Amino acid sequence: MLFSGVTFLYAFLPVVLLLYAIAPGVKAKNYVLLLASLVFYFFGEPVYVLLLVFSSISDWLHSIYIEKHRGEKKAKIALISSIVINLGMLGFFKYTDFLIGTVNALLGTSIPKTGVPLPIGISFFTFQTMSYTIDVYRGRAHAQKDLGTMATFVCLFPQLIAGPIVRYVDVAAELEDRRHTLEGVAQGIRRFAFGMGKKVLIANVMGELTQIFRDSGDKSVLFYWLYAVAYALQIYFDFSGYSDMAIGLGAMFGFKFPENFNYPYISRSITEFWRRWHMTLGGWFRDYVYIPLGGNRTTKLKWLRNIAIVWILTGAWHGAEWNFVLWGVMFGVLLMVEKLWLGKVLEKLPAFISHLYVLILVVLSFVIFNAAGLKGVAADLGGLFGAGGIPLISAEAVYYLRSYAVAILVAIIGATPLPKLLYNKLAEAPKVVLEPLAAGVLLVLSTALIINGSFNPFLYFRF
Amino acid sequence: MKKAKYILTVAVFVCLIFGLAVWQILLPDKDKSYTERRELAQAPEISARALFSREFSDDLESYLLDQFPLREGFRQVNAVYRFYGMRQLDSNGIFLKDGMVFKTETVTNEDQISYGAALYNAAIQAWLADCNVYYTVVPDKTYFVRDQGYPHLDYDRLYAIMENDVKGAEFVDIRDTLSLDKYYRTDTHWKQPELFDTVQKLGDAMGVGQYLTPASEYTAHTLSPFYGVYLGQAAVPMDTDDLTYLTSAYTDSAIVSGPMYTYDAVYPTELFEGMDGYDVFLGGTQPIIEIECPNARTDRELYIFRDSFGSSLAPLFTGAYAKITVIDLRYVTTAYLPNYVTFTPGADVLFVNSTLVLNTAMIMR
Repeated sequence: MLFSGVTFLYAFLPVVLLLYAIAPGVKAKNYVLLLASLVFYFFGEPVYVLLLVFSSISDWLHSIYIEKHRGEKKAKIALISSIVINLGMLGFFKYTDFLIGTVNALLGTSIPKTGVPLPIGISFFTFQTMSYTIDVYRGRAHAQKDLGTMATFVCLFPQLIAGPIVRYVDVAAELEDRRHTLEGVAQGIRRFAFGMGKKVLIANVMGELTQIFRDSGDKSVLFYWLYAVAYALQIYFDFSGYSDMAIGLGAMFGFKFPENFNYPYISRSITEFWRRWHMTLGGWFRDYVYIPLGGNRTTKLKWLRNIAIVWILTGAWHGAEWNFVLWGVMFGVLLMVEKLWLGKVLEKLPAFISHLYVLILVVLSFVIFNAAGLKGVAADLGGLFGAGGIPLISAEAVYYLRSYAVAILVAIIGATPLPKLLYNKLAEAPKVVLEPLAAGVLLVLSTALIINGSFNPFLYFRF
Repeated sequence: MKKAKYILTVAVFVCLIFGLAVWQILLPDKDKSYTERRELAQAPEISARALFSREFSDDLESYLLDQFPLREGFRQVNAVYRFYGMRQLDSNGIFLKDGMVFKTETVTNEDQISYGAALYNAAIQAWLADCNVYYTVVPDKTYFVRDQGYPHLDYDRLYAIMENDVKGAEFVDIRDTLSLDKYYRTDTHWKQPELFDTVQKLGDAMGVGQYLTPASEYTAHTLSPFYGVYLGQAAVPMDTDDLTYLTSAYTDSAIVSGPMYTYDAVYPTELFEGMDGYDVFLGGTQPIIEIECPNARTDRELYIFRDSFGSSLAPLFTGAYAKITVIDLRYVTTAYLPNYVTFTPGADVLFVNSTLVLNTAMIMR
């Protein structure tokens, strides 16, 4: 079920909100959320809902066992077992066919692929549950004794399938006891409406443009760059819009989910970009991979190795294709270069140049990200620089540049803090009307675009 | 003050989400959307198979989308947002220019066009070797604004492929007889009363120009409102068209029949209220129609292989041919055609398809 679908917005959500409102006490409310989450996932993955239930029970049992045997070898074995099960699920569903394809390509074999479809959101919920058992093992969290509460955490529908990656410690207290305030609900609604607007009114429109480019037989250098910029905007508004909706829904139900984006396109270095982009994933790899490997408190060589491992894994986490690995490697190399010497140079450069440096590299990175395998990477990157003798400008590119100019401009401005800064300068009095009005207009406009049956995928669903 | 803001925000959200949800439940389901010319999705049936195959959730989304309250209004809001808010030049491939609605067709499918030409050739070789064969290509509306920056087919290439590939038939170029004002504003089709020059050129090429019914002998009948095919797709608030058809002594006396033709006239006007008002012309999607014209000025026969553009063209030949057989290869395969039609040696044959159909010619079989 998509947040930006009528089934969710005008059937599922009202029913869940109503049941949630009338459920007495936090425990009952948790059960409403659990049931709703299972229904939510069942609508998208009818069979794989069992995987979610299995994951909840497995990590619930493991965590209790780890806590019971804290400090003993048994706890470590249980932790390893939990990690193996989680990574095993992820590996089987996400990487088996990728590995088979790679082996076939390298060795000339013809091992048949499994064709097993990827369960939606598996990369997110396996990371969440792994962080839970690791935190219990490290003593940072107490094992949840109540299976229902544990399952509510694992399955919680607002962030189940596309993040942000919520760790158990982030919501442990709220799972046991949380306050529902008018302010919290209103702010949740506002956040949800703005997220919906980002997704439907901007990301989907940019998505149409990228699809038009893909379908076009009239490619040119200009069209490749138009596509690259549109895709960079699409993926930002798509993913950050989804995160906003998730955070907003969480707030409506009394949860405070971690932030996931902080205007990444205003960064002045790639290091800063990754502090602002998909922050919960970056934090996860930092706390559960990078630091356990020694982080930067080790020899320079091992430090660089640690960065390389984290970024190869980050790339592979995003998709079981070599272009995703390449994408991760690209950022790993850039971060190494920045940490070794470029970072200091960037600090001294005029802001315009460092912004341009980040934007060009990020746009290029997303071209790699969205390519169809390594061949697609070569074709798309080549197209940006006129490879294959394509013309500099084509009539179609000019037409679509004209057609989407306003939308692109709105998206670019929307990707900066400028609208928020301007809004914050307003006095409180007009906000009393403006804020509810904006939320209402965004919902109506989004509904209009959804009803029209426009382009409506969620890019991060495949991860 | 903040409390008032919070209360208002929650109130707006509750009214919208719950209000539309309840409205959706109470609203009776509709069968059809006349502006979009399609059947609307109905409530899906619940079964274990549908539930576990995700078919139910997909069907439910389609159903709720199709039966949403104020659906037409929301679609108009979408169009206004795109055309006037985002200043997009098109929405869903539909663009507006000077009060006319167009569809962008950007990909010139050379393989499909070649297939269309090959299909003509196959028909000519199989049955029409002893006939006088002609073909024409009807330009779509975008042809007339092709130099104004809108995406369009590569018309030069399309016409060149046809002229190069079609063998054993004479090409009659009708482009100089047409202009944008001869097409409906909201529809893809041309207007029948604007076709006299076109018919004359075709008639002259086929040697029956002098037998065509002059414009003065026709009576125009107007049906309104005509929702063109692009009107629903554009979803912008704009005036509908009036559909006009022409009758004459020849069309009135014509005897029309066909394996699926259940009407008794050239213009079954009862179809105007259906999904596609243009079906008034020879009943719309018909595989084969025979029009016998007892009062025709000649005893010649004409076979027209056509798409929907040919539906409004064929009646204008009723004065010049004793029998007109209208064939639509989208609805009858060439393999089965001899079961229904016996081609008379010496007859005239006219292939008339639009650029849009030729660009997707594999829909013809």
